[in-house]
Amino acid sequence: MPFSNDGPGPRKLVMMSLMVALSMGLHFVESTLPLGLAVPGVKLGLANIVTLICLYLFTLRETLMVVVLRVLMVGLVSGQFFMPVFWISLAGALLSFLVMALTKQSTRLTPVGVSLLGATAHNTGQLAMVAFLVGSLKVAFYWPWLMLWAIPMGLITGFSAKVAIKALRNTGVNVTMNEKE
Amino acid sequence: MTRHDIFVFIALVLLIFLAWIGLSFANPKAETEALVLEVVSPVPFEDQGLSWTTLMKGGQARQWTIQGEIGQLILSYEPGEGLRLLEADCPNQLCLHMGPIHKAGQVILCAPNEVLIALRQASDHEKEGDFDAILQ
Repeated sequence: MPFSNDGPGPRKLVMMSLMVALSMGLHFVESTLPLGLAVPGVKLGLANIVTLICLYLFTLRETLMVVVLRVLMVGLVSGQFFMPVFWISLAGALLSFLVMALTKQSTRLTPVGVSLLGATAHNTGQLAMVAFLVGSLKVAFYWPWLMLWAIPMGLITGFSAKVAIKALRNTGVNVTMNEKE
Repeated sequence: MTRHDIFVFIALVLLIFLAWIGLSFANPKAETEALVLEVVSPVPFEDQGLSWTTLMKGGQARQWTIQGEIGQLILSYEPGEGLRLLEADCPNQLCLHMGPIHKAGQVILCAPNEVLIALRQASDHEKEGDFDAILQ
């Protein structure tokens, strides 16, 4: 839990807050892009960059906190709280977190490979939620189309995160300070 | 990028290709006569199951109002073009750019409104027993 004794220390909390803010920023940057090709309500997932960075710098639990906080805050700020768009992004964010966490822990993939799988999971999760909300599997029609976007998106987020992870580690900001090593 | 990453990349590309082929088979291109309009919305749609033939026969533009989760959507039919959304109460208005649709398997989706507009092939009993006559 965030405020128990074994939770993240103050410096790490600051880093985590910055990550939440950064991912929210990325989310809004993305919504200003004129991507009329995507499916309404479905986001390409620029904010996945942050999820990926967090996975490599923080613990799983802390990363999940950053991801969920981002979705909640974006929902509140954009006035879409508990509206369909909110559930769609929550489904996408959680599924991509799950897939990226699993592949990062148990395979020898670099952030790029993890990100590719995360991006596809992100879009699949969102589309699954759309199918659930609309109550029709017909939206599967869009799946290959969304996946076509997920691959370049996964590459972009993957390479960006890779650079960011390296830079953050080099700055001496010891964000993994709470981990017992 | 290691060879593991490249493997993931290739596997994903293959998967998309296979899914695309699979979905193309699931929605074979049909002759327009056997098409039926299907609308999934929070409030039932008045012209559910309207056949494409009836639309073509009328030969004139038509509009419907669909009640969505957030607000109203205006669906329009233009002869020679197809169906598309003219107006929608949703944040990013992407659904307005999704038409016009005129083939089986094509859909217009407005996720924020939980509305799906689809053209599907008429089932056999719909074809045989003049479906629109029953509706009217």
